[in-house]
Amino acid sequence: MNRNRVFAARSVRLSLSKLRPLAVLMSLGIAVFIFADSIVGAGISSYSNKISTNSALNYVEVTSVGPDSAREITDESLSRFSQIDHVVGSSGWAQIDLAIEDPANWPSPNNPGAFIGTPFISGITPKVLLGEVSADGPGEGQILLPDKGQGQKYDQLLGKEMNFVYTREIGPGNGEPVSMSLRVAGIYDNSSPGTDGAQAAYVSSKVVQSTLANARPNTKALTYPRAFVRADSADEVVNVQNQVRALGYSVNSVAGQIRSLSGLFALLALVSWLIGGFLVIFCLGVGVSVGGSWIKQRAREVGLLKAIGWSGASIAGVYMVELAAVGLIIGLTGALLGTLCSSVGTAVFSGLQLDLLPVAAWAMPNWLLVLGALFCVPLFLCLGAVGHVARLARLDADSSLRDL
Amino acid sequence: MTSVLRLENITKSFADERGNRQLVLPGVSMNVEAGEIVWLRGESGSGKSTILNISGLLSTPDTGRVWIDGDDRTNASPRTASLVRSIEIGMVFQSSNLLPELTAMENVLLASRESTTRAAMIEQLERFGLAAVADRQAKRLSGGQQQRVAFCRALINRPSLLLADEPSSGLDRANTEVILDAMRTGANSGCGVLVASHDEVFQQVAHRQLPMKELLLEQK
Repeated sequence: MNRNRVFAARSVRLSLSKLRPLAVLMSLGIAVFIFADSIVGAGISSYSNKISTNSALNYVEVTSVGPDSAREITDESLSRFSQIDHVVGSSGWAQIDLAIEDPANWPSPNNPGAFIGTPFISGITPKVLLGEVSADGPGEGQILLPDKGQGQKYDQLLGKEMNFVYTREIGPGNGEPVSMSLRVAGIYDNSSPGTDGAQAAYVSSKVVQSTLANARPNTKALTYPRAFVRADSADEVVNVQNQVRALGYSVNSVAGQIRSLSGLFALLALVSWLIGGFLVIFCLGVGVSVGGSWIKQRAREVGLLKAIGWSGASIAGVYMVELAAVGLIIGLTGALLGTLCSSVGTAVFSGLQLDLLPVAAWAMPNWLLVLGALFCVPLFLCLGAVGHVARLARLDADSSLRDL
Repeated sequence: MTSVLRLENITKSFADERGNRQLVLPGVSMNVEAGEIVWLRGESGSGKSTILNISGLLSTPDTGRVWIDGDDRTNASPRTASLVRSIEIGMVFQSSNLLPELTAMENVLLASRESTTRAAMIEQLERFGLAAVADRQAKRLSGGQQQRVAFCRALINRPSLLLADEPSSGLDRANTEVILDAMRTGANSGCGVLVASHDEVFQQVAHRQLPMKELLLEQK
């Protein structure tokens, strides 16, 4: 039997009992913080990360003809772009006319399903409304069709495997139809068409390349009117842009025009940690408050303990252990509750499919924050109270006992 | 006989509500020998508790010297004072001052040294007729039982000096007898006992009486 352990255990039970409303409030607060991080913090961090690394912000658009250059973009050019530092990929952009071969698959007798085959550029291509398409876009043998055109919706074509025809040059002004089979993997939102046009039908870059090569067999080297060079982050775009320009190409980028954006998203990504910061301040405040209240409430106890031979240091030590234990219990309760709420909450928010909060369903919270709650709560509770506990331990036993 | 407690010319004053110093002890000298029961008798407010607290190193005198077991402990550091209280001094208060949520055994444990075994604590409780309630929470014990637990706690380390402040307050005859018996047993095993009380019952056990009036008059 250890007297410190016995006293601490009794004190922890008493403290939890007396501080029950505060303990419940703190546990709930911790749970809310963890939950908020999972939904808001993680969502915003994920969104800002996505914006910074996989959106129009981290692309450099290269054109073959511009105000300061006239240089062809070929596969060799794309290869040179890919070798630039901080470039994670480059894609040539060119379009080819496609039409649905079988009239039975036409959207209507008057609408032969004419589209413009366009390479899918991840982060730039409009939002997919229907169908399952990976973040890298349609794979081999797949095509994304626009949502509507010529007054009609195309969603009835979703999932269909159809032949699309294009024209292959067989001589000057002469061509023949060539068909290729593609499955409609998704329908995208073309309500706000960009430079690709309202009737763009997205296929993979490889499909565009092979189709173009097949359509122009007499052309020695495939050239592209445009190319997109992707940097690993929006911060590197200007640097990449300059290097591409130095190779003699005309360039443009969005990130280059919005210099402060990366800083903004970096700040948003700190949301999780800001939430944690509030938790720390809250715990410090509670520690100070509890420690302060103990000065009066436990003076008698201190006098008694000193009278039976306890030193001030022993008393302070056992009170700090008590605070740490109470904090650990509160932190553990809050962490468990927060983890449960995060799991359920992310499932709910994931189901809502909010663009600004792209969270995965049944996601676990940031484990660093959970660990932080477990250790920071007792730590900062103790830090907040340490001054008062030291004062308590130095109380004059004589006057404390006289107050009985 | 060895003095377990010696007070030399102890003065002590306290500040009242207005901050004026009130002299409680004008220069008290007294001693307690090993195996002796000394009854410090006087009414409430006469300074008995002050003498006990100074003797227990819970309070420092303004002037004078305090000797515990032959060692000058007047200006002992807080750490040394704690050590002396834990090893050489046992204290019993007017109200038992047990921690109500702890059991009788656990309250005794609070004062015991690390080397004290559970068996020794049970034995101590048995001496005071408390073995059956060892695991009962202090708040569920009667007033008499609580005071007996307080004596157990004070004597668990076999101190050389036992200080008791109005230990019979609120006790019935049977419980008072148990306490008197504890004092006799303590004194017989070499412990010096200083009991401060206005209760005449301590006449039965005291080897010596020290009326506060005479003690204070002597010094004046």
